[in-house]
Amino acid sequence: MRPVFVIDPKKCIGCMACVAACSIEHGVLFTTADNEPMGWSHTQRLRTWVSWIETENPQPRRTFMPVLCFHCQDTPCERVCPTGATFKTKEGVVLINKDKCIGCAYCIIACPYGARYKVKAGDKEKAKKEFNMKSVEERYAKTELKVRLFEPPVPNKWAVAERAVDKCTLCYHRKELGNWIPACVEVCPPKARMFGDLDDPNDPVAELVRSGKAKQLRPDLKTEGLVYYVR
Amino acid sequence: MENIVFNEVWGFDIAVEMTFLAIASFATLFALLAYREGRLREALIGAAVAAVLPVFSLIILNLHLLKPEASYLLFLSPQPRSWMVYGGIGMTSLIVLSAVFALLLLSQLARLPLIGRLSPLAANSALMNAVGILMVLAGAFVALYTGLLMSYERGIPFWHSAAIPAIAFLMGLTGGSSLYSLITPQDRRVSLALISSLSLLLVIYLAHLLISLLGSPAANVSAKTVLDSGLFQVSLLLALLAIVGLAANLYFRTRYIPIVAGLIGIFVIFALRLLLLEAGAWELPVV
Repeated sequence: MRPVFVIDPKKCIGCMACVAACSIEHGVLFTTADNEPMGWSHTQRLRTWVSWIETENPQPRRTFMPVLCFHCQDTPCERVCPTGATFKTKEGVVLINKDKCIGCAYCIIACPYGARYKVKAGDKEKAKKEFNMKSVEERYAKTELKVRLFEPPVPNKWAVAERAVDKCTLCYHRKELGNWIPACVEVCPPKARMFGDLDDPNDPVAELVRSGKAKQLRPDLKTEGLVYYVR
Repeated sequence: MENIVFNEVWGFDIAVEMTFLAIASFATLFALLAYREGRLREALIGAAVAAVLPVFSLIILNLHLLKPEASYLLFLSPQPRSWMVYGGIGMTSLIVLSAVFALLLLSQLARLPLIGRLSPLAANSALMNAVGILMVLAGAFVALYTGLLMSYERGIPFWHSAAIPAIAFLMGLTGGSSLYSLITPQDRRVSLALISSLSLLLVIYLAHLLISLLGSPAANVSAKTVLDSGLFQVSLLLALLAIVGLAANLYFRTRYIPIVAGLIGIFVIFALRLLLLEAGAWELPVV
């Protein structure tokens, strides 16, 4: 299988369901996300994010841009990793072996797409102490829902871990569970996020790439990622 | 532009670490030259500084890691395509070779019980020269490495330039000559080395800024950030004063001007490095 991830920004409504789904799936620290409330996120402390740009001419307009790791095939982050913690699977998915990651952050510097971030020691505890997290916990305590905050709901060896660099895994753990559709794709209401297989000649998502409707961003960088945008 | 994002990963601490490496890198060259001229005390100071400062650099780097206790993986599980691996090897080699050189010199200078046993080895000039040359090579590599590390990848256009390793190399030369300007203020050759390295550093740094202004939007923003910075303007002014002062002192021959110029030289390489790091910016893609 050759996975391909296609994003149609014109369909994106900025609901952030993808961000919430990713946070739940991987135990990402949603509440400590250091995002900018308006416009471009400076430090993307999440595996996926939706940035937006506002323009006023010719008329007021907000363009959403879902962001995730591009899973480059000419992989800058893998190349600079001093311990080999960053590696590519046979399908081309770029993953981090958290046990080997020493947290030097050279990969964050090397990534041209801002897709990586540090998870520091104590970040989870810090997030749990946040006011809104407490209120969520209290609400859950009153219901019968068995939700454990910051714990992935399904076995996920690529879940967020403290004291390591983190990034999108394209929900690779779901492949190992036999149902490989990234969580963000599954929940996206307007289907702005799509996941397909380039090896499947009948795959409509792969067809967007083959037909040239979906293109890579910054082809000048020649990183040849798995993520395409409908332009 | 909303999609230009400044580097916040490598900042003040890394600038300090790289400044230590710059000073240590070419202190080795001046230490070797001092040894060859029989100025053993001056050689010892340079070699000792070249051994100690990279240790502090490694400590700073370790503190920068999320898992300092796992830093041994850099050597036990090295990924040969990463410059950081070669940097670690280079710094370790610099520490070991400089420490050996310093210990051999110390054995000649002081009659210490244990180190004194090394004096027959220290008397062997071929051995001393061999260790000294290896030490200088390790130092030169470390100076160059601090630039290669930054310039290797395409993510930050302001750093992705052949000028960066050249700037790093010249920062090493300036650092080494600044240190020896403090140790041997009346040595005209050291003053000349500091004048030429600092001048060349300024020329290449300014050329890099001007070329970056013509480059990609991110490189342009980075260069403008440096040019608009008060720290850059002060550094430039101080560097020019140091160059003019040192040039004038070739005739006046006071010991104070080279000392002040040496301190300025160290400040300038730190400031220019900090600006390079903090002004580095990504140009994140937009639809």
